[in-house]
Amino acid sequence: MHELTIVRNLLRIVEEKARMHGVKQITGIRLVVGELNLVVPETLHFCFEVASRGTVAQGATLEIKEVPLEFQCNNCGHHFSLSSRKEISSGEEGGMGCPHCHGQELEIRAGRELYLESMEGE
Amino acid sequence: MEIKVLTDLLEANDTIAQENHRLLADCGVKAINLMSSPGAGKTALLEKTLSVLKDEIAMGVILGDVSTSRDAERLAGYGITLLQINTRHFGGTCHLDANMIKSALSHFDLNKLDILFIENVGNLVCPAAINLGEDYKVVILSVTEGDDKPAKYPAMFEKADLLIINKIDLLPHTDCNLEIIKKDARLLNSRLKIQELSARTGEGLPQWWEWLRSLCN
Repeated sequence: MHELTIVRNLLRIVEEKARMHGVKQITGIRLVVGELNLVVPETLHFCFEVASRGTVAQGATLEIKEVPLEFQCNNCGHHFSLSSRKEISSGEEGGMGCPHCHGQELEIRAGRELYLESMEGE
Repeated sequence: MEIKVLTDLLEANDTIAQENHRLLADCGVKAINLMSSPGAGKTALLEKTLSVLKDEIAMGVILGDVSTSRDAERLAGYGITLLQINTRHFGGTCHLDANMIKSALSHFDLNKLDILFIENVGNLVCPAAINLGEDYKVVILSVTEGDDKPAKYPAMFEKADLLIINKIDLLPHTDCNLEIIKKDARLLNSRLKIQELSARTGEGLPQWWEWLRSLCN
């Protein structure tokens, strides 16, 4: 699970920020997690709960803002999200690339995000 | 109090990855992060590569597995420096990370190497997000895994520099459609190079040798 790697990195960052700002107890953490990372929020919560014990972040509320994958077609400029990935596959079910022009060159415009937006503490 | 942070969660890893990359570049070494599902043929490809190119290209190998040194045993005997990392010592992570590679690099005489292969833990998900300091990401997908994998694992295929479709000798025994693999992999990555080969029979391997040679020029 790379949720654990992410949580370890998160704790390193928040502990340093807490030190910098004289925060003795972190009460809230806000994360932005894009769909491309294939991170499972429940697993992230679980790893955080376990790994934060004994740290300044123990007991903090972890808020995860999920960002869905968004694509842009390099051929016609059409922007679209997905409800399921097979819509962009060129498999026999159809959905040949761009749903608008069937273009075969797409770019990811949103969904890569993986960052700590802010934290609260006292 | 609220503190605005806006820090990437993998920044710590990326910082170390950049250090690794600088060290490798200073020593003139090209590093390849070899990724795939378990059993797709990473070690088999490396076995053939060491056997054929060992007198032509100075190579080193870092092997990542959760446990055992079986891959290292398979690759021993070619006279090259190998290092096996067992991630169970780091908590059993399913991928290598930049910190593990940083420690590993001190085991190699980097000034004597042309290419450093890093065989990642078998996993099509996590390694895509974790930079090691490599120059190239090479993904191996075998025909027995099915042609829906690029669609199911977009992050891995989007970030790859080279896709190797392996086990093409088994194609007659599968329903795998190579055109679907190639189309879906290129959908998010139009610059992706693709090679079709069989590490076992040797079919298609010359294109892999040529690509490796081109890295050393």
